[in-house]
Amino acid sequence: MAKSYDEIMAALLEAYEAHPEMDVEQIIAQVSAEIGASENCQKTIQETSALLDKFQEKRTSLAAAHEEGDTTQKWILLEANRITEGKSEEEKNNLLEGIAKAVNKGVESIESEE
Amino acid sequence: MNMEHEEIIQQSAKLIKEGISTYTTIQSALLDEVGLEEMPISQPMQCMQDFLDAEINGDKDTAMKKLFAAGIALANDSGVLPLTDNSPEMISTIADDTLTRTKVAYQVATGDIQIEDVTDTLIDNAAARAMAVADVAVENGLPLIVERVCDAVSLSFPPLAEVALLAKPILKHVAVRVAPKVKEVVKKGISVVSSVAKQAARRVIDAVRETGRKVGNWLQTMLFQ
Repeated sequence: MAKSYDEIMAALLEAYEAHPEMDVEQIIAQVSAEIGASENCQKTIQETSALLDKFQEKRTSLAAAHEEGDTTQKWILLEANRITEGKSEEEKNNLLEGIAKAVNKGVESIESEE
Repeated sequence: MNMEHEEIIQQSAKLIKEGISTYTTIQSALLDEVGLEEMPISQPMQCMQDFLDAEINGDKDTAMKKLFAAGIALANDSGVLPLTDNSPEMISTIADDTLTRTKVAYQVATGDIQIEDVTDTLIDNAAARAMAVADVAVENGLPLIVERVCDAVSLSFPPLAEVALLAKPILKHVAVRVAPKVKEVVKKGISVVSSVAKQAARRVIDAVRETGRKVGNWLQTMLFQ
């Protein structure tokens, strides 16, 4: 019988609390195996963990930029330049325009009638 | 770099920052403490208290976020937590954002951070996530075409109604694993942050209405009840 979300979170947090010596990825892998997670789910979890590490990497970079006196807006530009190094001006523009559009899409979700 | 290109990229960066500010403001207004009333008290966990007390955006936060993100993925896989989008980008964004907001609310209530610093912290987090998602997508070969970039990065700005829905169970699992008095501190912090954000969000909504655009009933109910 499938565990509920509450049971799954309890299993993860209790394992984490009980095993401070273990790496969090090991704990997640152990609980995932006990629950019988599909291969697809395991892949999603790995990619999610990698993204969370990436978020932290970018936050550290942004904090360092603030220490140097740069604004968040300037950091966005510097990051965009780094991501598109070696690419054309058009591609650099497209990256920033695409991100701006994505943010706007999120804002426009306030217009959903749900 | 020619002047026109320079102007385009400066304008885009400005729109990104302003859009993120609007998005995070409305999101702050949606995180409400009402759902914390009915929860049973379970055994407090030291790891949860340590998470709340640790420096915001410090390295220790990531472990807790990974646990919650895995919980969402596992529950979705088991069929007990339906998601309209179960991408790694969406799951990691919601785990990262909700847990950060909960910590921020707690630390506002304890006085460890000032309410004036909340907005900048949340904007910076959202900006970091957007650039992270873009970076990984480009590394993985995403063509730099506006619509393709938009589709990839929009996963880190999920529809606000969905975020509000998924934030509730995450918030619940934080609150049931701290001492009752700590839960009250979290509630107080959420109330303070949400109250300030609601005033700013209402101004955003009024501005949207002035353009003749409609605002969803779900949001009007949450902000103007």
